[in-house]
Amino acid sequence: MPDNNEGVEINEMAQIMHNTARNYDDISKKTFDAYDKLIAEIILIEKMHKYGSTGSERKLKEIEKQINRFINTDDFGD
Amino acid sequence: MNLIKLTTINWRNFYGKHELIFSNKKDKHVTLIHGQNGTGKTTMINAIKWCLYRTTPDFDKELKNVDNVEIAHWDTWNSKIENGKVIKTTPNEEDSEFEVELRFEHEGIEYRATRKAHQKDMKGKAVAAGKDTFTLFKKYQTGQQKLIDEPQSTISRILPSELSNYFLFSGETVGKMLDASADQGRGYKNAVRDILGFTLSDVAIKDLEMLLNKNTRQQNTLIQADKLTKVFGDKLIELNKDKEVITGQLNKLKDELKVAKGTDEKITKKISESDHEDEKKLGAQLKEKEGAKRIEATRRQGFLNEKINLIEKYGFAIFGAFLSKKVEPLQKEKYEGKLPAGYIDSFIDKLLSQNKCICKRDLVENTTEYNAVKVLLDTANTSLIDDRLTKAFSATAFFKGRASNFISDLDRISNQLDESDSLISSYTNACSDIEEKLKDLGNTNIDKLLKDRKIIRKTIDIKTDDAASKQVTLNMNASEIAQINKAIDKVKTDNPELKIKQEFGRVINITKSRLKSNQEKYERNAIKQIAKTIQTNISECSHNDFNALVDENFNVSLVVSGTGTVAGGVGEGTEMLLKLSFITSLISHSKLRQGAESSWAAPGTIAPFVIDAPFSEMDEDYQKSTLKFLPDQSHQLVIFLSNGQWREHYEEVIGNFIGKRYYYKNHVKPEKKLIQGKLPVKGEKYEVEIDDWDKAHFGTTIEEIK
Repeated sequence: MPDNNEGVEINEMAQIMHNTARNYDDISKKTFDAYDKLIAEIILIEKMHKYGSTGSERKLKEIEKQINRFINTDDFGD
Repeated sequence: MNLIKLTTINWRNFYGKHELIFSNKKDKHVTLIHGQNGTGKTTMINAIKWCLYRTTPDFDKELKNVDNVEIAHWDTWNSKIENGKVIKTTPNEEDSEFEVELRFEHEGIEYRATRKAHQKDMKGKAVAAGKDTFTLFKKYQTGQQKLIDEPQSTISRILPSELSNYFLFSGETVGKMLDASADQGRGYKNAVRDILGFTLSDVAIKDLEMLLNKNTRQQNTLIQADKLTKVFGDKLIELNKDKEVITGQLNKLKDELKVAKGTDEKITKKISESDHEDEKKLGAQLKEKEGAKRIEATRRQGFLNEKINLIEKYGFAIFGAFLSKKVEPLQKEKYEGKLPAGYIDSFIDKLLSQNKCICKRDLVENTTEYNAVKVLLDTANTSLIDDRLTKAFSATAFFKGRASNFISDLDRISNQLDESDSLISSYTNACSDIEEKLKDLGNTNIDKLLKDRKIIRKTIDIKTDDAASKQVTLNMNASEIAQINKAIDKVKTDNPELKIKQEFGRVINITKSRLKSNQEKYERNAIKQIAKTIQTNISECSHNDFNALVDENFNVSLVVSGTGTVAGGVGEGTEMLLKLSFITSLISHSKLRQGAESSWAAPGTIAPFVIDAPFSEMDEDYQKSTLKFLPDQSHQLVIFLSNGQWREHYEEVIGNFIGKRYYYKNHVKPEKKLIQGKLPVKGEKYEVEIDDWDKAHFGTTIEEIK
């Protein structure tokens, strides 16, 4: 960074942007992996109920339960 | 799903017990069954369908006034002789039971499905309701078997009946399967999306929306109950109600639009299929031009999307270019790095020459005041300012560079958009001309179809505008809700229940948008991959230089390479090749998705491809090509092939994939003449017809070729 915050150093700016993007990727990858896992679980519930005889009320409850479980775990990084 | 073994007992012309063991080996996943026409190739495919779903295309109607239709072989009936003739009386209690058993594997578990019925329970062409029995067993690795409670639901989860037509089919019906006007104009898009595994995410998105709506209502009630946020709560409840109403109206409009577009497509097809030669020709031209116009409209949308992306990507450059204009007057060379020396120089010089400061004090040379003002000139020339100026110039250079990239990209896209607009307009004019010519031919039917189409297109335009306006209202509603939520954040209520609801809503929103964007991405990718696979098949064997196009509704068409013109009248052989290629490309794509580590949602349907090869429309080149790409792209392939269409040189392309091979032997009555020749396979000649008809040998039997 330049010695005061009024200067504009393109290379430095680019480096900062790059590092931010890289860090963001790490964080977002972790977050998105967790969300993808949640999505896969929801899809599995949909699959189980698609041709089953149980009603949609029960299916929605199962999805709701899955989302609450997701909120209460720390494995998503946001 | 992998087929293991099919066992039939008294099924149609296959009297007694018959077995087909299917090959499941990785590199030898093809089972080839040679059969004469009319000896039961489709019958065996129908046996699988009947076993799994209780219905087959030609065996699913309860005909009125027809007591019994022969399903089990007639020799399983009791009979009597009247006037010297054998008359069937009642089905024999013991022998007239017919049964189909299918053993298959799915996701590592083996299943045994058995359906049984009795000839006496036939009502018309179908077994009377409740008279057949269906059982499904699950077999564990230990060998233990478990009876499944809801067998039909389990089968539907493994391979839904509506999708089975795409995997278990008599080739001659392939044309009906890929009918774009089917399902109220929705075509076969839904079935294809189901095969590819996308419909489950559609349902998931809808369910998430329902949960979100419920959560929002509860959240708003909590906001309303809080003294600090009561006013916001009232407004949110009102806005949310509006949102639900408008969303409902919008979805209804979208559905109506789909139906209207389907009707439009249907009318267009009818116009192009007129019986009159001239009309047929003009109708085909019209269809071709409209196809080209649709393709161009899709391309245009692509350019528009590119333009939007470009603006998003280079937005900062536009802002930077604006800044650079402001910095321009500083002109580094002229003022040698003094910032803002240019202005200070002339301003201070003026003060010093006038010997008067702006505060009206005198500026006499060598006085403290004079020197203090003069030193301002030097402060403007410090290294710090020089450094700042250099940075400002590099920043503007950077922005200018990006801005110029942006402008050149924008120019390119604008040119493409102009070109696209002009093409669309020329297609529109060409279509109007053809329509005029069609009208001039004076056919009242065509005239009526053209009028109907005009009306439906007007409806489409009105509904499109209506949907756009509803969308705008919805966006405004969303923006108002967002503003209120921001205002609530500022008030900061400490209600833990509300916080949980807010978090729940946030997670659903992220999940929903991630699911949606992933789905769109994968769907686009699927369309590209499918088009690529079809292209490979077509370019390897087509007699013409065609490119395969797959649109967003999975409609497949061929265009002439280099011109982009839709290929008209490609011939039934090419059509069949295209359709088969499309269906196998779906299996091949699902296979790819199942193997992908990043599979985020439901994998596509992987099922065996069981086909009564529709080779009658194809010449030998096409037949050979089909036998080449089918094993390449299938997961497990069972082909029933007519003896008359088998050529020994086909062995070169399919021979290495064959793990099991059978032929049908037809047992004819002694008085009938043997008409079929022998079946040549790898240098051997097999008897496909024999006059040993007796109690033990009649109808058709299945022989394995080792």
